[in-house]
Amino acid sequence: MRYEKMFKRFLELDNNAPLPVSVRIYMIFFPRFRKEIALLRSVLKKIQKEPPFNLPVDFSEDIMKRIEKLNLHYGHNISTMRWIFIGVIIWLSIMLITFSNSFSWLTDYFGARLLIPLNIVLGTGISIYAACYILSHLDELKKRVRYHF
Amino acid sequence: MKKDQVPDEILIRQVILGETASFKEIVVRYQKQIYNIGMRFFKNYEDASDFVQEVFIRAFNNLRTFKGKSPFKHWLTKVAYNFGINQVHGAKLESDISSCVVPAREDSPEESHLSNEIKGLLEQAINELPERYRVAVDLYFYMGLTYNQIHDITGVPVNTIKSDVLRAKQILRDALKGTIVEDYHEI
Repeated sequence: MRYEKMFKRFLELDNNAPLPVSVRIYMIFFPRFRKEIALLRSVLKKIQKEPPFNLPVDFSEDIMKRIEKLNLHYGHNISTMRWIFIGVIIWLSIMLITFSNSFSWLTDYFGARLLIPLNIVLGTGISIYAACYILSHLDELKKRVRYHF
Repeated sequence: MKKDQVPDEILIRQVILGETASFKEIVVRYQKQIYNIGMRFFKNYEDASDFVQEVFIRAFNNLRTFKGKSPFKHWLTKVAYNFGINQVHGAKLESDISSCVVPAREDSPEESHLSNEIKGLLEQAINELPERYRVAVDLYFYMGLTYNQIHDITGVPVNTIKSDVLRAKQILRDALKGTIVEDYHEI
């Protein structure tokens, strides 16, 4: 009677659940119980390794070919808000640089001739940034342009 | 999962970062289980094969919706189960399952015989359950999912799953007595 009760407790266990202490203790004293549990556990483990229907073919190649044909490419994305935020910071820096102490020190040292090369360098910086944004969003921008015109 | 295997979640991360080829490893890992779910739903090789391909394509398309809150295996099973249910509701298919079982190729003759006997016993146990609960019991035995995970996927109440699994285990236990499986285990 107790044997069946203990066995039922074992059968009710969830996948990957540890054996209850009472069942473990019972296993120590009853070799037949231990043997039957070991048999059923090994069978259940074997079942998990070998589902009833064996794969007739390996589908992985076909699936990967179909995925390649899909027009879906994952990649590392930076959100538009982050692009705009960084762009604004660069633009503000360019605007505010003329009011900084370093800028006045530079103009004192190099004279007014510094202004044009400095503007070229800063302008190139913001242009490179804008180019990066456009290139990384080319597909999206193309769609928008088509939609509007 | 084997010790030296790259975890599923890392493979998924790689795919999302642009390494599409990493998805192949996911397919290799789970195609067998998904095929078995397909066979349980459609009961024929052709539809089960289409099912496997569709499930993985759907999973790939929706990878961004996988948030990693539960194991990937669980998420993939849910995708497969929902797709299977929708397909089966669309078309009622009947065919003889036994004719579709492909025998294992890698095992030795004794092991092959043994595993076929075990498969037969469990299949017999599962076939004694109501049709609508068979997939849930499959998920327990073949996918190794827990009662709660199966409930999340199928919506079948936990207590129903528990009692069906218990019934299947009891049938299996009774059937094992006096079979070659018991003899083999004793050796």
